[in-house]
Parts: sequence; C-alpha cells; structure tokens
Amino acid sequence: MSSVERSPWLIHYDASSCNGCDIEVLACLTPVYDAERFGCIVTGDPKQADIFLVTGSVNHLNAPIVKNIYDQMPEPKAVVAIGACAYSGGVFSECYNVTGGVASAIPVDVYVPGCAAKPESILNGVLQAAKILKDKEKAMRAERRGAERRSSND
Amino acid sequence: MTLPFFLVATPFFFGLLVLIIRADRLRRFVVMAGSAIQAALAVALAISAWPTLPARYEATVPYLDYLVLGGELAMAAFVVVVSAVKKRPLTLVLGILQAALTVAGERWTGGIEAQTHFYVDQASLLLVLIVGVVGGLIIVYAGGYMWTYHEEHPAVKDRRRLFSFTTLSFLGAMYGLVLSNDLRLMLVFWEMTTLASFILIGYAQDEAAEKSAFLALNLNILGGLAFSGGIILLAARAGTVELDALIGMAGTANAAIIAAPVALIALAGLVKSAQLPFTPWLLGAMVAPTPVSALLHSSTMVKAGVYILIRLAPAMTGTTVGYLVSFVGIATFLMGAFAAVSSRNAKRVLALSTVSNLGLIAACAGVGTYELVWVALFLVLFHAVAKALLFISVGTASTGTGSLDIESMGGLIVDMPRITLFLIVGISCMFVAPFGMLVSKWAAMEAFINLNSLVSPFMIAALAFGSATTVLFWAKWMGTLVRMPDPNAPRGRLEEKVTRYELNAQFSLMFLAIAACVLYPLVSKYAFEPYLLGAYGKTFGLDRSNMMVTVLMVCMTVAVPALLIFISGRNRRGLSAAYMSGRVAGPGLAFKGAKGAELRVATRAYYLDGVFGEGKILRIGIGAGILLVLIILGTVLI
Amino acid sequence: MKGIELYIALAYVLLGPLVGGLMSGMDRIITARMQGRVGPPILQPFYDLRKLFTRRIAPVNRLQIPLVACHLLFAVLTGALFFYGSDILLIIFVLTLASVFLILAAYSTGSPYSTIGADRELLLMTAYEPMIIIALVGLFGVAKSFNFYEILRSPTPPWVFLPGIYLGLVLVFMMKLRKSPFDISTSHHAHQELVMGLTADMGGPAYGLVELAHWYESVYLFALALLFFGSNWIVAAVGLSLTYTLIIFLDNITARVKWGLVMAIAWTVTLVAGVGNLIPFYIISRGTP
Repeated sequence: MSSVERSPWLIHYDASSCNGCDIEVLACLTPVYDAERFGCIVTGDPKQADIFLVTGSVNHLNAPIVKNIYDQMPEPKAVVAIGACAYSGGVFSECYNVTGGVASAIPVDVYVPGCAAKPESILNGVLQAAKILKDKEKAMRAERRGAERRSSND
Repeated sequence: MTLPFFLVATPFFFGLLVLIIRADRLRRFVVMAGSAIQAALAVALAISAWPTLPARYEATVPYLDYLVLGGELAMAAFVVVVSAVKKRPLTLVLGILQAALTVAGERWTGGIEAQTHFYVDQASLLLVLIVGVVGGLIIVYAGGYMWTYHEEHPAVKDRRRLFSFTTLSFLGAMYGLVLSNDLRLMLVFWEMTTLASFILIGYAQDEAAEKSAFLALNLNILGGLAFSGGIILLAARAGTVELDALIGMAGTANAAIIAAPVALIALAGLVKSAQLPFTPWLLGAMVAPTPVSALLHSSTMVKAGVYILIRLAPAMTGTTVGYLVSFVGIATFLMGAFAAVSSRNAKRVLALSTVSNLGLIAACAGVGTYELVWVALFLVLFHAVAKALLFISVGTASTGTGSLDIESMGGLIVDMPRITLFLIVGISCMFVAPFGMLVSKWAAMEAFINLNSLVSPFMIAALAFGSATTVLFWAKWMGTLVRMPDPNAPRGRLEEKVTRYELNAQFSLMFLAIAACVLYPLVSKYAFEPYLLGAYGKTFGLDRSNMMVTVLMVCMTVAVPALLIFISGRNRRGLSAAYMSGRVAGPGLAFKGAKGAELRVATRAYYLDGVFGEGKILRIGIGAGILLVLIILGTVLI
Repeated sequence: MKGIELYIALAYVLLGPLVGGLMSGMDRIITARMQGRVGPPILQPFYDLRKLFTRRIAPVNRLQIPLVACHLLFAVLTGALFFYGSDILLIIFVLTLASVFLILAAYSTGSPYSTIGADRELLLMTAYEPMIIIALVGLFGVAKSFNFYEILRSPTPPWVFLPGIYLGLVLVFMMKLRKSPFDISTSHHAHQELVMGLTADMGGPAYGLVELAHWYESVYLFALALLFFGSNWIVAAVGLSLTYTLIIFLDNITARVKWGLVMAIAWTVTLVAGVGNLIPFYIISRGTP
C-alpha cells in the first residue's frame, strides 16, 4: 500500500550545472517523455516535495543551500543526483571551489549517469527513487508502530 | 417621568461632582461609580418601561421653555466667546447665526406647548442601552487609558477633570436627545453634544487638535442651524414641534407640509453622522484621545445622527428627500469603504469604516421601508458594540507599539495576545459571516431586492462592491495581526503596562459583541418587530431557520478555532521554519545577500494608493455629497 | 421534502471529494491532451491526497493547522447548507469566511512568499465577490427564490435572461479554480510564481486539507453554474462541459495577468456584464408580475 510511489512530487535544484542536465529534466515534462504519466509533478516548494533532483556539482556557496532545501522536505524523502557533475564533480571536480558531487552535502539515493543525462535515464532514476521511497515509507511505518508498542508496554 | 428624568440628570450630577474633586484616585472612583450607576439606570428604564411601550411622558419641570431658551443662548454665547478668543471668524459668525435663529425660533414657536416631552419606545431604548452600557464601559476604559495617555504625552496639559466632566455630561445629553419628543428639547441636547465634541477633540490643545475641533464645531453648528430651521418650518406650517406628531403626518393628506422640515432635520442628521460631504469633521476628530473617538465618534454621538434618520424613516419612505438621503448614505458607504483600503493609520481606518456603516444605515433609513428599518436598527446595535470594542483595543495596542500605523501591529498576536484577541473579535464582528454586521448587510440586500423599485439594482450593486471592499481592508488588518514571524519570541511583553480598567472594558465589550450576535433573534422578536408593528403596521423578521443557522454558526466560528488552537498547544513535534527559499541566514526571517550580508525581510499589506487613494476618493465623494445636499436644500426652497 | 434535501447534503459531505477529485483528474487529463501529452491516470488526485496525508512535517506555528482545518470545515459547511436548500445569498458569505481562514493561515507564517500570496488572495476575493453577489441576485430575479431546489425548478432557465451574468460567473470560476490568467495567489504546481504563494508554507497534511477544501468548493461552484441551466439535464450537461473545457482551454493559452490589473478587469466585467445585465432585466421584469 504505497502512496508515495504513485505520486512522487519532485523539486529540482541546479547546484552549479551548465544547464545541460536541467534542460533534460525539463524535457521529461514535455509531450515525448511526459513524466506526469507517473504522477510526477515538479514543484518549487520543498515542503510539498518527495524527491529532490539535483544537477551540477556542489561548491562552498551552494552546499548550505542544498542542505537547506533537503532539510525542509518532509519525511520520507529521496535524492536523485543527475549527471556526472552531481556524481563526482564531473569535469570540474579539480576546481578550487568544488567540494564534489551532491553526496558531499546530503545523502543521495539514486545516481543518474550521463553528461548530459538523457530524459529516459532521468525518468528511470525518478521511478527508482519512487521505489526507494516506498521502502522508506514502509520502514517508517514499521518503526512508528514499534515505537507505539514500546511506549504502550512501558 | 421620574426614571427618564433621573436617567438624564444623573450623569450631569456626577459630571459636576467630578469637577470639584482634585484628588485623582478619588475622582476616578467617583467616575467609575457614576458610570456604573448611570448604566444601571439605563437598564432599569429598559426593564421598567418594557411592558408599557411606547410610553409618553410630560416634563413637569417648571419654566422648561425658559431653561431651553437659556441653554441655547448660553451655548451660543460660549461659541461666540471661544471663537473670538481663538480668532476663528467663521465660527464667530456661525455662533451669532445660531443665537439669532434661537431668538427667531422662540418668536415662532414660543406659543406652542408640547404635550409629550419624552417618548420611550424600543428604538429609543436601544440607544439608551447603547449609551448606558457601551458608553459606560468606554468611560471605565478611559479611567485607565487617560492615566497612561498623560504619561505618554507629557506635553499635554492634564485636564482630566474637564475630560471626566465632559464625557459624563455628554452621556446625559445623549439620553436627553434620544428620549426627547419635543424637538426644541432635542435641539438643546443636540447642541450640547456638539459642544462636548468640540471640547474633547481639542483636549490636547495643540494646533492639529484646535483645527479639528473648530472644523467639527463649524459643521455641527451648521447642522444645528438646519435643525432649528426645520423646527421653525414645522411650527409655522403644522403648528407643532413634536416628533411623534411629525411622523404621524407621514403618508396622510398633510404629507406635503412636512417635506421641508423633514429635509432640514434629516440634513442635521447627515451632518451629525458625518455623511458626505461632511465627513472631514469626523476624520479630523481622530486626533482626540481614543476614548473620545470610541465614545463620541463611533458608538454614540454619530449614532444620534442616524437615530433621527431612523425616526424620520416613516416620513421619508417613498419621498424625494428620502431617496436623496439614501443616495447620500450609499455614496458614503462606498466611498468610506474605498478610502479605508489605502489608509495605514488604524484610527483612520476605523473612522472611515464608521462613516461607511453609518452611510449604510442612512441609506436604509432614507428608503425607509419597514424591512430596511429593521436592518438599520440592527446595524446600529452591532456597529456600536463592535466599533467601541475596536477603538478601545486599538487605543491600547497603539500605546503598546507606540504607533497608530497598522504595519506596526505586525505580529501583535505574539506581543499582545489578549489585545489581539479583542481586535480579531471586533474585526470579525464587522465583516465576517455569521456575525452581526454581515447578517445585517445580507438582510439589507434581501430587503432591497424585495423592494422591487428602480433604485434596487443600483443599491444592490453598491452594496456588493462596498461589501467586497470591506473584506479587503478588514482581512488585511487581521492578517497583519496574526503574523508570527518568530513563534518562539517571549509572549505578551507589551501587555505588561495595560491597566485592568482597559482590559475589563475590552473583555466586557467582546463578550457583549458575541452575545449580540448570538441573541439577536430574541432582540428581533421582542424588541424590533414590535417597534415596526407600531410604526408601520406590519413587521418583518428574517426567516427563523436562517437566523438559527447564523446563531449556530456564530457558536461554531467562535468555538472551533479556539478549541483547535488550544489543542495545537500540545504539539510535541516542534515547529519548522517558514519558507524562505534556499539561501536563509539562520532562524528568523532573513536572506543571505551578496558577500554574506544579512537582508531582513519586511512585508506589508497592499494599500493600493493608486486606485483607492484617500485624497482622490474623498474629493469625488465630497463633490457628490455637495451636489446631493444642494438638491436636498433645493427641495426645501421649492 | 426536507428529508431528501438532508440526504443530498449528507451525500455532498461524504461523496463530494469523490466528485471533486474526479473533476480534478479530468482537468489534468484534458490539459495534458491539449498539450499533446498523455497525462496522469484519472485517479491521480486521490493518490496525491493519500500521499499528502502520510507526510510527516512540523507546522510553522500553532495557528496553521487549526486555521486550515477551519477553512475545510466551513468550505464543507457552505456546500452542505447549499444542498440543504438554505439561502444561497447567506451561504456565499460563509464561503468568504472559509477563504478568510485560509488567508489567515497563510499570513500567520510571516514568510514573504505566503504573505504576498495572501495579499493577492485577498485581492482576488475583492475582485470576484461583487460578481457572485450580482449573479445570485440575478438568479433570485428569475426564480424568485434563494433556495437551490426552487431555482432549479424555475420555468425558464436563468441563462436565457442572464447571459452576461453567466459570463461574469465564468470569470469568477477562473479565479476560484486557480486558473490562468488569474492564478496570482497560488496555482497549479507547474505554473508557480510565488513558489505556491498562498500555500507556500503548507506541506503534507495541511496542504492535503487545502486540496480537499478545493475539491468541495469545485463541486459547489459547478452546482451554482448548474442553477443557470435549470432542470433540463441535456442543456445543463452541454453548458457545464463547455464551460469546463473553456476554462481549461483559457488556462492553457493565457499567461498570468499582472496582479494590479486583476481587480480592474474583474470589476469592469462585473459592471458591464453583471450590473449591465441586471439593470435591464430588473426594469423589464418589474412589468411582469
């Protein structure tokens, strides 16, 4: 009985991407790829989002921002790092300001490879993240039930 | 005769007593006692006169006409002296005119003996109770407020004795005005309220206060002149100076005779209730201390203006004058509402809202069918209570925040939670369904629809637009109050200096406001419907089931949010930050700007100066008002 | 007769979200097809709602959830009273009360996004309220009643006499249903300007409650539109579908209007199409008993 898997709402943030991956993310919403078929909606409000799509590498300036957006999202949440830069910094990994991929700021669940990543891969990554969310949700519910049982036993 | 007489005399007695007491605390005690006693007398009159309404009383005061004449001339003399001292030539001329008209009036009406001096019925009792209870509570409030006022305004000379004397005597004058049937007697009390207003507006004795006081005096004397003119015409044409006789002639063969007197007296009523084009005097009067604004300029004195219009309604219905009065009223309703949108000064918004609602009452009274008079009476009741509550809460709030700017009341729910509660209840009562004012506006719409006259669609359109605009400026204010930028801030820190007199008065008025909204079907059934039966031969009441729906909803609207908010206090999960996008600078509302600089957020409501700019709106309104008033005067001359 | 009306009102309370959700789903599918996409399954809004209520998110302050809950309560009450046959002029003011609760919930957070969203929502309310009142007065003029069922039974369908008013009402629907070009305070997720504006600080269950209230409101609004077509079901079905499709179509082809123009546009339309329709109708109908 998963609710999140059927209705994954996305929030997209461009960390320091060249916009290549971002254009592909937007392409997912267009008629040929149509992410809305899966119930995906791209929202700008992290409080209403389930899956965090990050493109581009993380540097000193945008690390707190990425963390901030991640913190504002409600539980359970998943992170999808799109593109080579989001994975490791890509061709910019040696730069003085780049601290690495998205994983250097927040925990990542799915990596989508590519430079730029293809819309089909991105969709695949989002759906994988939705499945991961389903598992997280189940775990959360089990833990809550366990906590209730523990508190009622006291 | 005894009880009405005592009711009128008691506040004067206490006022004079207060004048001679120098000790502040003792004087305050006497003021509170006097306020309580007069309120008790008002209630006593209501209860005792109830079974035998309407009741007529003849005054057995010896030499009453000489007292009336003397009083009038004394007041005119006062005006002349004050205007000479303060070098106000216009007022001087008006004062002399007033004296002249009094003497002329005496020549015309001196021979006429009134049979009924005082007339008590449901409408006058409504005003009596409002003056007594609401007025009494405002005086209690003033007992606390004026002490803080002088601490905050050390430059203002402490004339609290004069203040207490004037406010108490004013109550007596209001009782006299409301209960009078002899129009000459009513005029004396009418002029007394004008003088009380003049003294109290000028309390601070600075330039703004003096200017506003004289503006109010000029316009209200003008209204008084119209009133005098009306009495003289009535005496000359119909041989009577009594109000019930005047109304009795409505709709009969004598109707044409009374058209001119009715027009002039209605004009006086329009001046007193600050309808266009006379609105500026009320707006200027807001420089007075808050209890004055609450007592005179929203709940009682301006109500006298619409009270006389409601009384005259049977004589105005279907006549040209009646329609003209209602056009003035509806124009004021619209213009007042529009102008209030762009105003940032809290008292100004309240003043414009007052004028707007009085305009609606005047519009109902001008068209004057029994349905619309029902609406007018309820508007008087709900407005008096809610506006008093709002004014006195704003007074305390502005003392706490140090400013009358609505934007300074941002987040007041954290700083002054109790005052915010009073403000929210007061504001809700003014525009939110199912509270009183909205029920009255709904009934007004239904009444205009049922009127099936050519003016109906215009009135309804004006009501629709005006009603929508009131939602805008009231909800805007409520939103400013509930903004909680920092939910963890220490609560109530600005409420420490609020006196218990203020809190008691505010709490009582809040309770009264809600009680009025819940009990209004009873008021309708036992008070207003009999009045309409008496005045029109038929009565009107809202459909019982609709009334029950609104009462139930009032209970829900009060209880449900209160309950839920109370429950939410037990939230153990903590709070999250407000949405401030990504680049936040720590807790609280600030962004990180270039080079890490912190940029605090400042939000404010829309004021829409371009569209609803006060100056522009009032100019249009005053122009329209002058035109209509000239037409009314035209009907008198023809 | 009171019995049936009570059951219909109860049916509205219990089944209203079903109808509202399906309408919302249809809306998204039609929008998608207009854009050449496939669109979500028709039950998608229900999946969304279910998901929203499973979120765990701390509120911004203690007023938020109570105020949003009151918003939902009074929105449902409005519709329930409407279908019970109460005076619809009174009920429209209850709807205003419900909207005020939502606006206060948005104001309470202090965030600039929700504050501006709330300011604009108030602007929208001021813009459309005169038109609704004129529409209801027009309905009364035709049917001589403020009761839903009696208006439905009126001999001539009101739209014949009140076409201008109906057009004004379509404008109102566009504002209330958060459709372009009047979605200045909050909008569908894809069209955001103020990052969800009015509902910027509402996540999880709070947003779920707002969505639910929106569905109840949509059902109620279309019932109001139904009143204009009278009890001829075929005409009503055609009329309502055309209206619905027109609104979605306009949503897709227009850009958001500048917030300052909203009131000017709405009030002009109200005066011209609304009052301009009401006055002649009034004058003509005064002659006939």
